Amino acid sequence: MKLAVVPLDQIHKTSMNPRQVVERERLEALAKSVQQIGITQPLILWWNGAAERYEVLDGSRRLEAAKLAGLKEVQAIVYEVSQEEAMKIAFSIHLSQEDLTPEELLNYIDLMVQREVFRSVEEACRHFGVSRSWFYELERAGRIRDEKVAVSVRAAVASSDLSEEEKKRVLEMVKERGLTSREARRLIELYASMGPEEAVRIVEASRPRLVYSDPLTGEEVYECVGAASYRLRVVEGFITIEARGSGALRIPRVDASILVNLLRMVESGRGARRQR
Amino acid sequence: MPRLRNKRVALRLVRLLGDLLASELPQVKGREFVVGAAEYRALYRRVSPNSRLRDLTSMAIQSFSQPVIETPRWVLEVLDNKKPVLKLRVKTP
Repeated sequence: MKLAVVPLDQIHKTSMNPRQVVERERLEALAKSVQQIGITQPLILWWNGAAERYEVLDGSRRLEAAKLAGLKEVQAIVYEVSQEEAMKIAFSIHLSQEDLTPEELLNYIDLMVQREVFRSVEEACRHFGVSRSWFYELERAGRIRDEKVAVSVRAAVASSDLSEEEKKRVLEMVKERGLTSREARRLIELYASMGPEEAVRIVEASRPRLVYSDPLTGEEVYECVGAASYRLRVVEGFITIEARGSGALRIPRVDASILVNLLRMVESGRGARRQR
Repeated sequence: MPRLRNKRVALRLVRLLGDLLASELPQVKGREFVVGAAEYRALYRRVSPNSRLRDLTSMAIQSFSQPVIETPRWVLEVLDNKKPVLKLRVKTP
């Protein structure tokens, strides 16, 4: 490890950094701060000897902000270690950063296992001393060795009360039908009470289907029957949502987030009624 | 135009794009290929016609995505985040 001043054009962003998405607004705020007072915390870089370049382990936002602020070089702590060690360092640093999403952390652990930095998910968790809830979720995921299924689905299947045969069947269904994590969890819920065929039929029916389309007016009607039953009517820049027992609501088409929140409300309402 | 503020949603959109590319195109283009703006549009026309998914994904790439996104199944490089131009390498079929 050494302290160095490194020209910005020699630093590359790669997948060594667990962060896969950055928030543009925060980046712009950081760029303004860098313009005013410079970079106060050095970047953490890895010297990739094979490719003869520096790769960012921590500080991709500071690097971007430095470029926006027009800096030519930055202070950095440079590690000259193996790729495996570099991945461990990058993950240790990011594990404590609250704005990193669980998907990014899980993905990086999967990558480290794939690149044989660790032999298993459990070993990775032990190494980094992740929180108990995290550890148990990842440990459950680690019991099912099926890299084609997402870690969150593997964790849900492993922690369910299903028998080993049923778990295998659920995983096959998830792969065959391309179910999302949420749909897989719903499938597990329904599996014990109604059997595999009926459960998967209900889960698939929960996906919105185009039931009517008018080429002249451009009107489209989507229907979803299942955990949440609703009907979407899309016409002339407006979406009308009709949920069973909740009446109809008409909203402008421009703001998709409103629609997402509405669907969440409909689903939580159905959940509350079921519990009563 | 729709707006995209949530970075978790952005991450899901970018990963969905990677999954779509990794499942739709390797039969035609091999394990490593570049996807131009026209192919990108054609992909979304095919898999999700009449939806805002492509607009939202374009925004996710423009405003949120890092230049390289790697998952155990594929590596997606964003060569140009405006058009967009992407390079995908599929690790496992």
